[in-house]
Amino acid sequence: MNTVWINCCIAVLFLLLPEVGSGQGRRYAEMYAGECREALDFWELHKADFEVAAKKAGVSPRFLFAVVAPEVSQFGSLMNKAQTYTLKVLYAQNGKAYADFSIGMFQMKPSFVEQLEVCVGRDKTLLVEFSDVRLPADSRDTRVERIKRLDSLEWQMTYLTLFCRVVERRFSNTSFATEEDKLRFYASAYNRGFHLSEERLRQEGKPYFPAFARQKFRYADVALWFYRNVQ
Amino acid sequence: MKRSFFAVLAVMLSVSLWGRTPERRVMYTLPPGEVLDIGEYIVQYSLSGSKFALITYNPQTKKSTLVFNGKPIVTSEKYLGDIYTLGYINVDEPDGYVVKVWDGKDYYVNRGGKMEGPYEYVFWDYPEDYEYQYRYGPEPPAMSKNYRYVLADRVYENVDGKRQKSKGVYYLGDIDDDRSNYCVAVNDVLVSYPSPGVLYTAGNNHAYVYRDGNTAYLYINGEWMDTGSTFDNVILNSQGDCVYKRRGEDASGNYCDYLMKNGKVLDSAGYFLIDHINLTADGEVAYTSLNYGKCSLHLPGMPVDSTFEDIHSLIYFDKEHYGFVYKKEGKYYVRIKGLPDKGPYGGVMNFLLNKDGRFIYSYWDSQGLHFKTADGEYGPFDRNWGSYAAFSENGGYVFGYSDDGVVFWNKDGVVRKSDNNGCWMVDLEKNGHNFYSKFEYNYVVIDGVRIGNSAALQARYDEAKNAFVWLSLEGQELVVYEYRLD
Repeated sequence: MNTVWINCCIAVLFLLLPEVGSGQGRRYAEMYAGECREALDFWELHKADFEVAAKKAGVSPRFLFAVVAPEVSQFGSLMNKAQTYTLKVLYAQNGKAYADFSIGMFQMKPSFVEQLEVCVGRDKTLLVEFSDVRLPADSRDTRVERIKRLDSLEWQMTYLTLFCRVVERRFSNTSFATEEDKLRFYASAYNRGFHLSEERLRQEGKPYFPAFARQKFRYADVALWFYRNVQ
Repeated sequence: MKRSFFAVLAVMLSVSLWGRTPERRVMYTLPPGEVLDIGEYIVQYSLSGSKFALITYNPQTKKSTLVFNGKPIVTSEKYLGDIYTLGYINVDEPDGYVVKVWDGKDYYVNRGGKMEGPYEYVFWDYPEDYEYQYRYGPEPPAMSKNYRYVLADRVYENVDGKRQKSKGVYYLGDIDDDRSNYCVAVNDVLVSYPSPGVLYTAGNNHAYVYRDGNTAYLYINGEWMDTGSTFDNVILNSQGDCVYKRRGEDASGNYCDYLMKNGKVLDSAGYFLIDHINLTADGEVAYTSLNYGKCSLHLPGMPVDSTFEDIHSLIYFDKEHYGFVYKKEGKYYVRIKGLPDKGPYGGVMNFLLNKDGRFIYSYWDSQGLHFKTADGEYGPFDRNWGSYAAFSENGGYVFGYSDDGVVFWNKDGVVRKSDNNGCWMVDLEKNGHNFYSKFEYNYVVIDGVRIGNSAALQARYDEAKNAFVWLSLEGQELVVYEYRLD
């Protein structure tokens, strides 16, 4: 990766783009500089994967990355390895009512995937495009399979692609002034739930990302920062 | 205190067992309809021996309850938070809890069953990086029975039951929950700002940056210092000096960053990007800049060095003690004043340097991830993100890494496997015996024999008993099994 190029790009974009809505993102990038650097590294490393997925998702590669980039920036593999075994046992044993937790680089929850599976089942087009996503009726075996899939980056990319298609179809009557407006909407849907109404998703709401941090940011603002800072 | 105390199960039972049939004992039966509360990354319980604390959640009533050794302590419709941030919990002490309670109007503190308050706000002064340490560090910071509270806009602290004026600077945020006041506690005084912002501290000095529309405001110790479009990288020292970068325009009208000190321009040149600002106790300033693709190093009293492709992690104490990571011809190197440059590397992370010349960093190459300290070199390990490196409290080093998928910690040269290893299974080897539990199977395996009806939530080897001890959730029952090996 050409870091100088990225730094230049960041600098230029910082300076030239309008400030509206990006203040939070800038501050996030400031506070989590190392994490953002790693997320940008991840983008460089997996750009080709995002390009392939973006074609199927009907959005640009950087749009697709930006939707999950805040989660990527907070992901730490040590944390993932060390703290999810117990949660996996509880989910496999008892289902999402018991343990619904974030897994993997894009920090997806089993309930998120279950919702996507339901959407595929109800939509003939999606059923053709994502036929392998659906799993049999809820059972211990299907929950185990779902967790195994969630631990794979390839499957997370598939779920992310499907998410974009679901949101596109669910909000097909919604118009977006710009792609940045659309990104904020998709990022909110990713972070807060695509089952929410358009009105709810457009409300800014209180900042609550990252979950544990004392000083919190709006997820959509952070996603927008990434969108503006990758090419 | 061990991580397992907070987040997972550190089961240390004192139950006698005879024979090789595992003893099954119900530790707690969850009330009908209630489940163990699950935080974002943790199961909300802690156990020690036969003592435990846990948070339950009732999806019907949407109420959470803190249960301490079988006794409900706090029931609330408001999210209780994570068990490790509730306040103080030590299940080994009788009534060993000091936790924040909100009754819908006021805050109280429940200290072992005795209520203290009401207060307008209550907070614990866990360090800013508590979450980071919790998630990445070998051990989370210790919990404290002491707390701080707000009464009539003044801040006090309760230290071992003694009440006194608060000391220190803390960001409290929107304590009224009405988005009208965002508070910072400065010793015993509550300073409020109209918008959420970023707090920077050094000793008792603080800077606060907030934004209103397209305008940013910088306050130092409650006093206005500057107004502009953006302020970033604010650094204070204990003398009250403040350095930061401010966005402005150069002579051609192009946007650029200016380096500011105490409200005045320190470097009249504007740059595309100013980064890695260091401010010494004496008020000296070191930083890096980027202009038209040229990366430059600015050290006090030295010519600007623009021979690098990239610079990061600049740490500057004085002209004899500094270090940074730089890139040349596509490879990364580490430069520490007084030592030969180290590298080339594919990349460098976690660079830390102290004034005594001790350093640690991780780097990666084609073989994987490595750690290098002033004393030695370690690796290669899995090329994973999230590796952790720090100076230990003993003056040595502590770092965490993944090796063949297994997480280890090296603290002061002593390597240990993480207490809670593996995202897929628990796999213990002791004295020729093996304990194995995988999340997808509803039993555990000991020495090749299938045992029980559920996977272990967590397991450990109890040396005193020479037994494998594990915990399972079976229906509504939290069950402990113990299997003697002799």
